[in-house]
Amino acid sequence: MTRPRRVPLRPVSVALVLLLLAAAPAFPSGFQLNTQGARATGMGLAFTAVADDPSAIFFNPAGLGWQKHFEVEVGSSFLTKTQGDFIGESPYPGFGRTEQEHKTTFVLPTLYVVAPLTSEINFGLGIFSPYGLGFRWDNAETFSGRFIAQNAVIQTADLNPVLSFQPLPAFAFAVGADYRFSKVQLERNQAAVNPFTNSVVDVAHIKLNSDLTDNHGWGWNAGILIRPVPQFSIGAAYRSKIKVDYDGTATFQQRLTGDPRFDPLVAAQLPQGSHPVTTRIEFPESINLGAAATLPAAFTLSLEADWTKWERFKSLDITFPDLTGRDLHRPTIWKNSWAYRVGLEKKFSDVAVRAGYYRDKTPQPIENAGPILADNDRDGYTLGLGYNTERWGVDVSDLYLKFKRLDTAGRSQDNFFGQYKESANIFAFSLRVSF
Amino acid sequence: MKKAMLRAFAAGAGLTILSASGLAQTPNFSKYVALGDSYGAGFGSGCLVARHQAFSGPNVLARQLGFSDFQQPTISDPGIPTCNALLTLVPSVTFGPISTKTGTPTNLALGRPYDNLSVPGFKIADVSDTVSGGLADVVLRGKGSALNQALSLNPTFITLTIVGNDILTAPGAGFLLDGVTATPLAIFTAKYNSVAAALKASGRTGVFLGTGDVRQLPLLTAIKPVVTDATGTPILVGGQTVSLLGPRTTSTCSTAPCPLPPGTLVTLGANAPQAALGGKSLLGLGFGIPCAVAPSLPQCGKPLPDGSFSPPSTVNVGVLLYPDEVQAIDDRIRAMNDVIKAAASANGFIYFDTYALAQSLGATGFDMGGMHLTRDFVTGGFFSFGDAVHPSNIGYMVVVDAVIQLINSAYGTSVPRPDFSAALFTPDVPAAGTAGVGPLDTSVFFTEESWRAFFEEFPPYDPSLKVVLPAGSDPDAIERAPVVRVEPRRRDP
Repeated sequence: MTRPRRVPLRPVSVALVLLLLAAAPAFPSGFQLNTQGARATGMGLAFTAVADDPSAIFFNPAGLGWQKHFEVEVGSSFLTKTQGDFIGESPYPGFGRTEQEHKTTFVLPTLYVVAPLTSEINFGLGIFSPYGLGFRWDNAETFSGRFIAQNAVIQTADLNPVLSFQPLPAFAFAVGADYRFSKVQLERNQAAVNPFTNSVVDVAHIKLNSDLTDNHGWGWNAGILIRPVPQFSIGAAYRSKIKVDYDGTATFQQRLTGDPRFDPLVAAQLPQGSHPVTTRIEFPESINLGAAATLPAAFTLSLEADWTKWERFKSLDITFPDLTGRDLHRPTIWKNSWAYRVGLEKKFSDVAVRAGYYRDKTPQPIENAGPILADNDRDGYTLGLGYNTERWGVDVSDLYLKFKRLDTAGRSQDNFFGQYKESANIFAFSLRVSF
Repeated sequence: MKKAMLRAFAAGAGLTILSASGLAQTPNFSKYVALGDSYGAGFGSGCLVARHQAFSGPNVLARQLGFSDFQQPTISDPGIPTCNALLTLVPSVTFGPISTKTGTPTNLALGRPYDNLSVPGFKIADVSDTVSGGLADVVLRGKGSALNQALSLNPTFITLTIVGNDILTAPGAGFLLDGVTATPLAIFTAKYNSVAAALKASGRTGVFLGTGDVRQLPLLTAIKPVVTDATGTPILVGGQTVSLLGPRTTSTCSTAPCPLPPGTLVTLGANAPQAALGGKSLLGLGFGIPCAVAPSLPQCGKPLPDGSFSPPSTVNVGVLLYPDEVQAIDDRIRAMNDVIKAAASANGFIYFDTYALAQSLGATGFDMGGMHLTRDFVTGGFFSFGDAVHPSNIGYMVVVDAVIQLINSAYGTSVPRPDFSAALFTPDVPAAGTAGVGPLDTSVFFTEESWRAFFEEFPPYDPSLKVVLPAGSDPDAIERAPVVRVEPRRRDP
């Protein structure tokens, strides 16, 4: 075992990192994001029992027990929705109506620092985005679901210091604090009946927005890793729920109909300026269970089952403290969900190739699917490549996510019916330097 | 193709199946005919016109069943009678006809009976007994009764939407009196059972629709029974609302006029500007408003009128429905719906609960794709311009969509639900440059005309009775302004 080299931990500029993380939200599993390391991503995110690089801070901090150097890992994921098609059904928006999700590439940076404090105790600090949502629709002003949502965003940035303790060579555990910054944004148009034409028209654009740095919550995480022999390990990791109360602003911008009898009436009733708005999200706790084995011919096989208590996400409640009649209560009634993962790594000296697969069950009932978020079971196929020496390493990976076609089949709490066809590609890289 | 397959499958099978709601005969959709009243015809905004008829329940249902040749007695703009439109929303809501002319029938030359034989103004007895008069001339064209014409088409699927005219005169006039403002229940029962039995045939199915909860109609909900300001916001005195005044005494008020007891409904007529009142409404003159609240109004402190019948032939329209009157009308509607439900069951049809749908709409409104629609007068979207009783194009879609879901549930079919988009987003106004549609005729306020039109659409049980709109209970005021009389509905060719 390599003797740890003690290197003082330099302060991390939280502001700088947050600036990096403010880049974008991403595609959800529910709205959970697990692509927090390129090596793990290449192995189908089955990394809880592997956890042998600095990204273990996210996947299973007990893995730090076996990391005896000061190490820094920086990386990023680039998430691109490759397909985001909606095909309408009756009664609304009607058969044949098609819509497209906006295909932006989102960037998810990560930073992990591992600092051995003693031969048994390591300190780690991770900064990552474990939850995110980005559902934005093209042609927002004509999008048939514009009265529900044109753009829905949840962003998170977690600061996660951890301490690992390895009392025995075959066993380590870790605990950490999880400080989460988060922001939400929701844009939609307001509909009204123009009584002069007895038809529905757009009368306003409503934008709800909160700042990333103003809204935050605390939680904790923990992990254990047992490696009775070098060729086999089992691990478990836990992340607690985190409740974030959001304070933001709402702005109302009138959409003129061109009807001079109607527009002034709308203007007279529309709230002017910005108004306070509040909401709350309870991010769910999760438990990841994994086992990994080193096989002959330098193969590593990793299996994992992840459970997330999505029933925490019971409703989306938005309150306008100084406006009457505009509060929104949207039941969500999500279910707890499981994901099953398998990953494989083959090493050729310093080079490693990886592959993985997972099946992720959606927590979202069909009735709840809509323009804010339409989630479904998905299959993830991953490939990865790494070059790692004792001093440094680089890993790249690619994850292709194929969502099961979602058909509301007459069940939609928004009465917005249709089929969603989605797929996404996530490219990730990590750079690791060991001191 | 899908619809053609659906029709072929349904037409070819003489099987019975177990449906979600129990035993139900497999429907044969090879020939669909609709019988009914204004609600079946697609009447709205005070008129029958093609742009409404396109959204009539029968026409939409026929389209969803795959028919491309479903024939209706279409009428061009500006409709028969002339359609209404909203003139002003502030400072007060006023309506007016969209033209000084009327539309013309555009499908008179059809060589066979129409598939939609719904006739505005028809009561249940008219289905079998009336062959002409009013819009019956346009729909029936002298070819016999609606029932006989329907049977001559050998329908395999029928919808029957008729009950409204047998009861809705009562809430409009402000009192329930059998033989005057409502069809006596025994007569309604006998006639409905007779029509239902005539429709019964081997292999024939369909839907009988009941009527809704009148307490959900804008006619009875748009005006609060309390004093309000111009925006409709209740005025508070000492932190309490101030009840309007009516002619009845109550347990806490021994001398009329007295505050309206809780649960009293006020009809839209109370706010109708009338020529007989110098262009002002009863409420505008102060009727029903305590002088302590509005001492400057000339008729303050005097009661709003309750409806009554002056034998032998005068219906004195009131604007109040006291709780016992509301209950009596509701009891009658429930009884009539029970008759319809039993008749449907006895003759191989299913029953659509319009009453429950109306209550649901009243309680929560209707949401579609982030759009919230309600039964609120003028702004809610569910009801058409001005008449406060007939649905808008959107409203008709809501009802027929619910009917289709019932058909699928009861029969185990897969009739596709209709596309709401056109009804939601197409302005319900004549196309620009439509012949016969001129500038809005602002010479006549809708509110009085609409009130009178209500009793043309929902005439007394005996159409020869005279309907008198109230010009107030002050004899001097009535003397100053002549009573407006609505001529009885013409039934002759």
